[in-house]
Amino acid sequence: ITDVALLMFLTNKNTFCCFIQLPAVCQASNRKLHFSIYGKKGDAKVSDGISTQYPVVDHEFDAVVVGAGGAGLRAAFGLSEAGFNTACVTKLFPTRSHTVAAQGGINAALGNMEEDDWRWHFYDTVKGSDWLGDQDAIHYMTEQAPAAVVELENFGMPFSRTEEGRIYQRAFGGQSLKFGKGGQAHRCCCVADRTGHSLLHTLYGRSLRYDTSYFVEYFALDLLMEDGECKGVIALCMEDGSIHRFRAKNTVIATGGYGRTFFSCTSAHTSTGDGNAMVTRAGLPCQDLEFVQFHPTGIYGAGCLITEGCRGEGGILINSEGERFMERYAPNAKDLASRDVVSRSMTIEIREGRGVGPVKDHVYLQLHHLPPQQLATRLPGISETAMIFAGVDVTKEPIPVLPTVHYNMGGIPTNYKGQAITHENGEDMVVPGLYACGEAGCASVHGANRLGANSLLDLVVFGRACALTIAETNTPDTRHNPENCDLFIYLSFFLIGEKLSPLKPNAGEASVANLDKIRFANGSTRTSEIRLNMQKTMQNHAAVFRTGDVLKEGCEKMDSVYKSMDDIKTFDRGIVWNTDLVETLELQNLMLNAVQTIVSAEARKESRGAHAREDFKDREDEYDYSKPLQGQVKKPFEQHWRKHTMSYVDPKTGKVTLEYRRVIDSSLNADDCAAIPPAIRSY
Amino acid sequence: MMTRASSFSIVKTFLSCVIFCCDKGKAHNRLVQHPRKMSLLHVCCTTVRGFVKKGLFLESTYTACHRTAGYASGGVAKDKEPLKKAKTPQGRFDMDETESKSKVVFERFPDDVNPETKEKGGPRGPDPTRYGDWERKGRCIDF
Repeated sequence: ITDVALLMFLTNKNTFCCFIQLPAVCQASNRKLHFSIYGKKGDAKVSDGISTQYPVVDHEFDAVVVGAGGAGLRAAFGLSEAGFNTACVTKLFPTRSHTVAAQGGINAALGNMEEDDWRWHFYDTVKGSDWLGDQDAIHYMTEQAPAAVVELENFGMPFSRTEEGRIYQRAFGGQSLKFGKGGQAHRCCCVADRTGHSLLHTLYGRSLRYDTSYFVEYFALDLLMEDGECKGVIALCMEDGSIHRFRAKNTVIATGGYGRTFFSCTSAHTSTGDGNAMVTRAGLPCQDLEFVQFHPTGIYGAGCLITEGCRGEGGILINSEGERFMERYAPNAKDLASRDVVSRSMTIEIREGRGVGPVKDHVYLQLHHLPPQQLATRLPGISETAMIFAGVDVTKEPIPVLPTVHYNMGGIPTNYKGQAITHENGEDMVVPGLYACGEAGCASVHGANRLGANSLLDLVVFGRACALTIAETNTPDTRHNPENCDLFIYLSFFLIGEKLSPLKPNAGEASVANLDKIRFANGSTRTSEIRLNMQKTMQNHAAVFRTGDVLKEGCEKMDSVYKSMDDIKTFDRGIVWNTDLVETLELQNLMLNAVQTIVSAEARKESRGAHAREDFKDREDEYDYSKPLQGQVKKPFEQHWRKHTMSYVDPKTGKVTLEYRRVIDSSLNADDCAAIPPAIRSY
Repeated sequence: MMTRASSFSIVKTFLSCVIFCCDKGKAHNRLVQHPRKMSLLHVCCTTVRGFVKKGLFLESTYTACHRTAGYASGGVAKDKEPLKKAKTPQGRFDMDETESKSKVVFERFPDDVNPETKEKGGPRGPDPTRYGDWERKGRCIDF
């Protein structure tokens, strides 16, 4: 007993000593929390510059990144690594961004399974984009792809391996060897079946190593523009309702896509195109918004996609009369016709009134005529999926499906370095201080159609490109974090480090006025009703089936829905965690994206990639590439459609103006990689 | 102790009877609509109600003390009873608790190595890209 007592006394004494020593240990440690409310040095100043009712907190940074998905995180820690004082403003916690749902893989020409060359990947991507992609940006992306994947693997992303220990690559659609002549290429690297989830967690974990300031659950309202230069972002802190102005010389937008403009989409509820809308309100154009990728069989109401393998295994699509309608549209291939044929047939059936359900707006996918054992062995897990998402027993009832949006190719136009551009007098002009990457940006690597497994690659490559471009053209202002440098460097940066240019004290006034107006809106229609109207209109008129009259009717309906926004009614008048207010702001953003999508689609009178029209079934280029080029007259720029759409909106009236911009047909270095001349796209 | 409990309950029933009469009177008074006369009865009712509430409060604190006293005096059996959360009604998609937690749709490969392709750490089950898209449990994943 005495021994035990002595032991206890000693251990207690040790803990007692530890408690005494603890403050000293804390002081010596340099470790700071990655999450700081008011920036690093607490140099945030509160001012009454905009309004006495909405005091504004001003922050100063070297760079601000809006959005914390794959691209945003990569840009943010790339900038922090280069020594910049970076803020990452995001409305969601970083690991909740929609990147987490991308379970597939990343394409890269590593050459682990067979001999591979990034130039063949370049060819596949240019062809997949239907020659609407900018070839210099595609050159940049495919050349950097192997280095980007190896870098991710060095960050700790656990890719699946071959026996020798190299990264395992599998075959995925659209990838070929030897410029399309060498058969299927194996380029898709994955992490079990959760690549996007793993990518996001790896990037977030890596970003904690650097000194980025995260402003989580801050909703970015608008860009602060002065004289055509972007000087920062104004945001609403959802947690306490305060307005924050982030002044920075460089702003990177990585806010993701806008799937939620359509009724049926696979995107999260937070994919509302905030970045595109911010840029539109700043008077800058958005590019190629009419190119939206659809998948034929998405579960009605849930937004999950049912694999094409269901139809491959014998599943059939039926309408309200129980008829296998694909026999009429594709007599030979029937349900195994290509995706766009199936999507268009489904939409035509619904439009002609043979849809199922209470509002007759979808069709059924029937699998219960197949033997259950075959379903269980060939498609394991499908009964679980059908029960959870559709609430049906797949061995007894059909699954309700309709064509679903899953990716937006368009976005903020950038060059291959990630700098946002605008189009004036036929020339591309860089917008100083503004960058975009990820799904929000359109460096146009995807063009008119995105190949699978290229979007995760797009995120990391262009996120890194934005960080590198900013690092090349700016020096960090080290007055904000002197302890990271020694005295000599500190002094030199003090002398040559760049100060922020002055900003008007009432910058961002319009955004706050808009916020106030919405907060106290007292019209007659709720936010949810207007949103549903918009989504239904877009699904009926701007979805897969596009013809002239359907699109024109859709444009007029969207115009009236846009005007009905003046009559909106919100219920929550508070300012702390006002989700009614935030949803209404998101609806404003969605509206801007939706009107641009439908008006651009109506104007583009051809079928190219994901934009397929019934009345103009062919692609219209400057030459007719299905015939030999000799003897053909080149069509002038106004008469062909191989060009990018640049759309501007007047936010007050909702009127869209369109301009067109040339596609960049030359690669970065013609000796290294020859540009691919346009040809007919056939697989 | 038992007598105290029983005396409390007697007082409670007496007071509740009083309240009942008061309420009835109050209702009658409302029908007659004499607000000023009602006020006296109203005051009586509220004070009585206050007493009853206080009594109930006292009773609840009494029983609480009784419980803690029971613990202190050696309620070992009571210690072992964990505080249970009330269960919400089972929804349509809720799994039965008796069923296994995760129905293993895909079994693990031995050593996590796919026997056909020799891929280590890859996706379980049949190859997701066998139908040309990325398929998992019947769902197609877009990426």
